[in-house]
Amino acid sequence: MSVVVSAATRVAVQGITGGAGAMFARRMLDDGTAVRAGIVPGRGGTTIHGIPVFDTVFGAREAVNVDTSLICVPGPAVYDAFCEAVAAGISTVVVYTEGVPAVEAAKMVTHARATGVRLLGPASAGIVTPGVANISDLRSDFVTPGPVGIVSRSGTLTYEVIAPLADLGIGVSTVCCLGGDACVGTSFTDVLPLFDRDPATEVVVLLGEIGGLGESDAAKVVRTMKTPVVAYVAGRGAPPGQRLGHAGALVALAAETAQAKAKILGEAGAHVAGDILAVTTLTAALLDDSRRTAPVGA
Amino acid sequence: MVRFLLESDAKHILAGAGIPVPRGWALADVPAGLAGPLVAKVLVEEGGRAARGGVCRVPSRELLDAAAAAMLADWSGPPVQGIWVEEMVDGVQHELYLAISINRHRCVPTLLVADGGTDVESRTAVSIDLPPDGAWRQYAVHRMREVMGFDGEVAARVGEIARSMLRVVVEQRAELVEVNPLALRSNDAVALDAKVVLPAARPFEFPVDGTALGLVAGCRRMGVNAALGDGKVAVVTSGAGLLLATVDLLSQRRVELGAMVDLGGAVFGDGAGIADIIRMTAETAPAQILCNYFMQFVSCATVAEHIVRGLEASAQDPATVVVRQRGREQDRGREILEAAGCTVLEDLEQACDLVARVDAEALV
Repeated sequence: MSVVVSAATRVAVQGITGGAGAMFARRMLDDGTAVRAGIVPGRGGTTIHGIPVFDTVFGAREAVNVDTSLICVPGPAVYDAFCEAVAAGISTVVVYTEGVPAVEAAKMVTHARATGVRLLGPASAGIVTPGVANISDLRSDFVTPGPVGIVSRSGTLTYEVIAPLADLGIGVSTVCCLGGDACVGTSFTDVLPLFDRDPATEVVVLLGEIGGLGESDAAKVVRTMKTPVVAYVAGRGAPPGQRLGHAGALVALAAETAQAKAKILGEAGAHVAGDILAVTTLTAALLDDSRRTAPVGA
Repeated sequence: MVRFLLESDAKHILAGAGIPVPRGWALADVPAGLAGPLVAKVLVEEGGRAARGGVCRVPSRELLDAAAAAMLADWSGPPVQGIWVEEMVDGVQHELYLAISINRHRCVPTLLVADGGTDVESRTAVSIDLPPDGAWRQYAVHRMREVMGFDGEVAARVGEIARSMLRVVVEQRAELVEVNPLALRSNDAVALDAKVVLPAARPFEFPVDGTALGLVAGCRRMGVNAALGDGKVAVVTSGAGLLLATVDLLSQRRVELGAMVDLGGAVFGDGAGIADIIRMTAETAPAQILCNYFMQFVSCATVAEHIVRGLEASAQDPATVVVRQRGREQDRGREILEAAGCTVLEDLEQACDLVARVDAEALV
């Protein structure tokens, strides 16, 4: 089973001839993900890595029936690319690009909600279900199938959970990165119920950050879940009033601090980790030994 | 990845949108016969200027150069990019804080209004959400009048300025447009100070020689986020979430942090920006630097080479640098870093423990 993506997912890469787009396309092909089209206006009729390039998403939909788009165009061009994907009938959009203007990110989120399109990002590291589809910046040889679902605002923070779990022989069901911007299309509250219904997921790891109220909203869902949740909210030690890393990692209200959000998640029944290292310990403790596979490299 | 415009540039944009601003000049361009009084301000990309002595009132044009020189001599903030001089605005009856930002919870533009001044952070601004399409609606004026107690004429005047600020947000794709204070006078309103935050058109759009502006502004020009605390240990990581998590681990160990940098997009391409970031970090004079990176695509060896280059261009002793690295070609990365004199670890906990132990020993 999987979350958001499936074996039937057919991917287009908008901006496939740029550095990030070309790199993603090459790797997704190598991993067996069904990349069926690239989109670059003016480059229609060419190919890259053997993938046909189209001038528009509409053309790619008509020719090869793509349903998911990975957007890797520069920040100022993301809003146009997203609107085109929605207009052409794409159902899931992953915006990898960082630096999307906040006012346009806000409009994208509103537009996605109105049209029922699943939007991951902006500034999302993507989504991967090992062995099914990989539309993320995680290498496929880095993620092995297993019982842990991860939903995170940060891409790099997932590495610090995936690697030590793999060292213990524990793999992941799906890794879903929401994006680090202040306004993003998919929230913890959208993804947690999907993991709760996913038979492949036995423990969910929620990786949050300071800023925003998404983790506090998530606590309401955690309270209703059958699947245990391990939560870590990064940024307890962040200097107040300064943006640290992600555009969304800035505390404006007392409720947006790591301490406040961790407290709410804990009260909702989540197993709260005090730091990133404790996430692995708590997660492993919730899993029966029989659910582990052989450690990577063993 | 954003650009914090200098006050002079921000006011140029606001004036273009029809918002009244005082007449102003760069110090070298102030007309000789100008009558006083004047206000001289340092141009920096950070707030809190007045509290740090970066604003002074000057009675006359003749005294301007000496006053500006004295202000610069006393200045202890980030590198100054110029002196901006304006005519003093008189007849001010009231000062307001006015801003257009994005309400992250509802994903719509929002108007913030409060009484203005230097300690506005201590007051609660009234937030009025605007439609998602970025269009101005008159209910915002009615609401401002309701909560701020404006009379109809003042509400209309402030509303026109807020409407123009919203237009700047939409047309310039600004993340923030802020006026503080907006001086209300008997017949008009004037933006005495302004902040405009724009998205960087793309990473690395600025020349790397912006590094002369110091760590925070220099990194910003490279599309890289950096913050500066008061401590003596610097942290450089390969991702935003990883930076927060590393800061947490060090804070748990009672390590006080100085420079905190997320390399972000600097690791892509040829990674050449990494060396400049390391050099700028070293220029903050940290007792130790912890570099923590976990690479998926970029080779650890490549990152290591750039770290060594950055250290070579600085006065930082490599023996004070701890590198925690994981990823592709990490063995080669280790060789490069150890040959340069850095300490290299794979385990994050061990790396944080080592930095904390050395920090504690230094305090003793």
